[in-house]
Amino acid sequence: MTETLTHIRLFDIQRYSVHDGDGIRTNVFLKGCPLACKWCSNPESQSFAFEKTYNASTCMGCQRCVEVCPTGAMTLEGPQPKGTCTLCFRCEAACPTASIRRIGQDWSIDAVLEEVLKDSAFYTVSGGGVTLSGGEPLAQPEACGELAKAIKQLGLHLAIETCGYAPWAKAEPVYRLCDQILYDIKEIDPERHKRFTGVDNALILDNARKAAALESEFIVRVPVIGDYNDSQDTIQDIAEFAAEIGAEAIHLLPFHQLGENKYHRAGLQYTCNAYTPDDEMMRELADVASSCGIPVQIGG
Amino acid sequence: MTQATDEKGYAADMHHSQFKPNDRLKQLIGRRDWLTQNHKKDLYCDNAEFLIYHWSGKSETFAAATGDNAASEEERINIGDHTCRVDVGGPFPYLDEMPSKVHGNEPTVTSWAADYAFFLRHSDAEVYPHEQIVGEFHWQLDEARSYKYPGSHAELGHKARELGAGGFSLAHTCPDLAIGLKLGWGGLLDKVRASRGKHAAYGNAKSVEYLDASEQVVLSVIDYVQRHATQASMLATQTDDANLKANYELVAANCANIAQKPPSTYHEALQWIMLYMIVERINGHGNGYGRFDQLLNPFYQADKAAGRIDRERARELLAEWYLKYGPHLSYGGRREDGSDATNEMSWIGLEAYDMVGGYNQFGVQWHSDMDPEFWAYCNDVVARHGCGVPALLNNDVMVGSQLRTGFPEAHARNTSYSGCQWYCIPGREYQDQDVNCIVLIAPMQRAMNLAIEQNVETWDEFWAIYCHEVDRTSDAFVDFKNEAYKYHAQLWPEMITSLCSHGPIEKGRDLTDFDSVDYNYPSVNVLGVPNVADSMYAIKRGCFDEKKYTLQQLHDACTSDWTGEGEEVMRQYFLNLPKFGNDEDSVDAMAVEISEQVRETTEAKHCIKGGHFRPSLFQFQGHTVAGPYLGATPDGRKRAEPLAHGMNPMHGRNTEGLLATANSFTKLDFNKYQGGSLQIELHPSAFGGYDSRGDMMQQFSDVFFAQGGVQINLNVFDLDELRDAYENPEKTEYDHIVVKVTGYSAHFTKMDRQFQKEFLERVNYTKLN
Repeated sequence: MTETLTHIRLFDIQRYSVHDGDGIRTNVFLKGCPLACKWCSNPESQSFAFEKTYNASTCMGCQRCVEVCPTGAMTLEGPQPKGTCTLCFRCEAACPTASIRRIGQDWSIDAVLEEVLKDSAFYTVSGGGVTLSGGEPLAQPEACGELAKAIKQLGLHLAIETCGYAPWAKAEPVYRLCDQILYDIKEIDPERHKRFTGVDNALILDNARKAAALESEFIVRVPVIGDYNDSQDTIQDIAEFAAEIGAEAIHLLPFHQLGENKYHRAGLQYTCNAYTPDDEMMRELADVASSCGIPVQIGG
Repeated sequence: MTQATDEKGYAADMHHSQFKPNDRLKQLIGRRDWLTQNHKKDLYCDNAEFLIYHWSGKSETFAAATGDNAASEEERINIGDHTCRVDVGGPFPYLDEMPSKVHGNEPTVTSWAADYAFFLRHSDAEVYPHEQIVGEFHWQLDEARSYKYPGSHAELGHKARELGAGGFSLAHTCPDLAIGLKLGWGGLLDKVRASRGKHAAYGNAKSVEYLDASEQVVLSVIDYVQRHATQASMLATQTDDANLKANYELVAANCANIAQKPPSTYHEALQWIMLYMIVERINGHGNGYGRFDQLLNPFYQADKAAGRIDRERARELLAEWYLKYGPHLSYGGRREDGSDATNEMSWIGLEAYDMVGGYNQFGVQWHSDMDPEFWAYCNDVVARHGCGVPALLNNDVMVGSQLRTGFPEAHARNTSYSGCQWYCIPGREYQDQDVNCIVLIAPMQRAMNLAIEQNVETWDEFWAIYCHEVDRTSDAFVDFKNEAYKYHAQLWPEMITSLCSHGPIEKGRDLTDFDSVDYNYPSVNVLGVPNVADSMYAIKRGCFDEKKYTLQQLHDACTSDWTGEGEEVMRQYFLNLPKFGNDEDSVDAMAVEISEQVRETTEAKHCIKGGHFRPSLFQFQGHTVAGPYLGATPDGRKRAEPLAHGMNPMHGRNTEGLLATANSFTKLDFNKYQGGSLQIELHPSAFGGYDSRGDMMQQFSDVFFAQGGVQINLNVFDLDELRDAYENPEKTEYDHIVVKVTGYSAHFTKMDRQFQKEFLERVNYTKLN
């Protein structure tokens, strides 16, 4: 097989995922996202650039990284002025405890295929497959399309987790290749949407309408974030919209505070004060959504 | 003396079973739980050396609980509630009257049998209220008869230990109960006498001596079974409770029927096997009992056709049987013609467990043609109950390894799971399964020392030294074992097991002797393969390929437990190199090479009883204590950490999740080894609801087995609960938690604290990813 020239920028490939889509799946996480949701549990997924994370809890202060740093960007005294680090990652190579990690790698499509094929036997017995996730997969539309095409050529089930924020002309060919579209809708109200995610939702809702009309199974997923979009009105608005555009189902995913440490490691500030909606609240919201005439599921 | 378990505590309710115990079973469940919770079923060994090398230098096997062979209370280690024996405290009451005490202890079958017969004739026939299957014992023969190999054996044992090996020889095989179920005790007696006559006619004094001894043993068993009938009849006359009276009369009738005659009903067959197991386990801990569905189905079907029984009643009786002691046995597998052997008894075997849950040891032998509904139910049961029952086994790989060893197809097909990770052709093997050990860390440590002395500069030279040292350890091990085999059959014959084996009675030679059963290819557990693989990979990369550190530096760091200057940095370097279990080809290839090398070495060694030695990629509990004993290792492991468990990746080093570990595992060809179980500990949340658990388990096991995996032990539990149980031993609310410790199950709170701690550390997959 000749190596394809296209590269795709990933921040992780996660095997044995059973909570995103049908069966046992491998999640391919593309790096970079046009949204900046305050509660994002993968802050390292947001930027398109490579990043460096530092885990203070495993660092033993050996200073190997400081010794090898050509620009003086590594010190143990705290963060240096932005731009000092050139992301040469010599520090990562020198770190004996793997406390410094590079986030983001450019993969060839073939390398990604090789990785996802490792568990193909598990997909077959469980009805699983591959899920493209992110970040936002559509933010790398060409590479994403090529990968999707290759996965479908292998006969694997393909799902995409998407926020829908991409020009329809770029999104459509990818969506058409997917067996299942897990489409995130966080808020119907445009002003609130912009406040929480940094972008307007007109494009998202417009694309949702079009994507729902495709042959692929179309599911609306709502991350239910305590103190952000957990009101009954918000959920009702989303469920009504989902029912109206003909989504097969709506999944309500309770927010879990998993991301905070990742912010610290990436040297970012965590400004979100969301809480996890409890089981009872989730059941109430599910009832609200259900009353809009659409099948509801709590959790993915 | 029993304490009833309250309503919510029944396994059937806790684990969402559709089969609920009736009131009679609830009484028996109460007694089972009381016995384990009060440490009445514990198994001990002398010391840490026993766990590591399977030989303590003191006892010749697991430590006797009382008597001359007993271990000191301070030193002994509690392996957990893993014995059929019920402790009542104190030594065997007729200790001083034992023939060997009165007339002198000779290492002969005659002396042994005289002790055995006396011992059994002085063991009470025990019948408890509500029981419909009886049998219980309180002392093993090794508590009353002293047991010591000659000094030459111990000498070789100490030499072997110095080089990293050891082992004992007792039980751990699998009789063919079909023989006994067909003949009954009277038929077995006739068989012994007929064979004696034949051997006497040819002047074979040795066999005559053995069969005379065997006759005394069988007569004592017939008396013992008959006494159960007498005891039950007596109890029946003493009670006014109609139910109890009926129970006692039923027991009396069954025991009277089977004292000499073969069992004629399903109920009698279960009773026969129970008493067989008891008279056998009096002789020592450890056998498996074969393919239960194949053994019992003819009895069940005959009863059913005659209208004597229905499935519910069959389930109830088997559940009762499990409650007394759940030994290693199996369901499923293939028939001799290769077709699926699953039958109605296979279902009943699983359903009975689903009803009473808890401690048990049986396994299900999957194969690609197995009834899919039955297989789905097996996965459902293990995932709901979450304590390793049933062990899931790959029949085709087990049989494949038997064929590879050279056993004929007709025999190999009948292979049964019979212990932790091992399996047996019932009645045809005596192979010391699970009781021999090579500690692979030792030759590696010597190789490092020698390579430093010799200023070795290349990996190839280092590897050659390592191979040589593995060979030395294997030689010392083989010399030690062969010395034991010279004396075994006279010193501690296994006459009850011999009665249900193919060859011993016909030949007048004990099962443990030369030229008795068909196959003598002793199995040897290899301890530390993942650590050695990770360490050798680290040495190759760090000291030879990248030359980051010298062997001397690495050696010094291991010696000082990585506490010297700069050694923690060095440890982190070695620790962060790729490790086995993450589906990373470079280091997984090393694991394959290390396993293959020790296999080729041991397979090349000759057992004086006939065959060669067969390695098993497993060791039952030595990894817990071997770490501190053997010191730090080049894989970045600190001295205080345990070794890896069996072939499972080292604790905490498998960062890529369960599927990656499964893929690493199946890079090994398990047809070449005698077992190597994958141990999985999962948090309940990984599964979601009870309804989907079985499906999720099956998705995994189907693929794992299709790829050549041989065994899965699954535990599902909440780590926080177990941690709380460990930290607060006074809390009784966790007493019900059973875990598949290694190849065997035990109640978590009843295990040695060190085992509990190790178990918590090893929990690998709290989530599926």
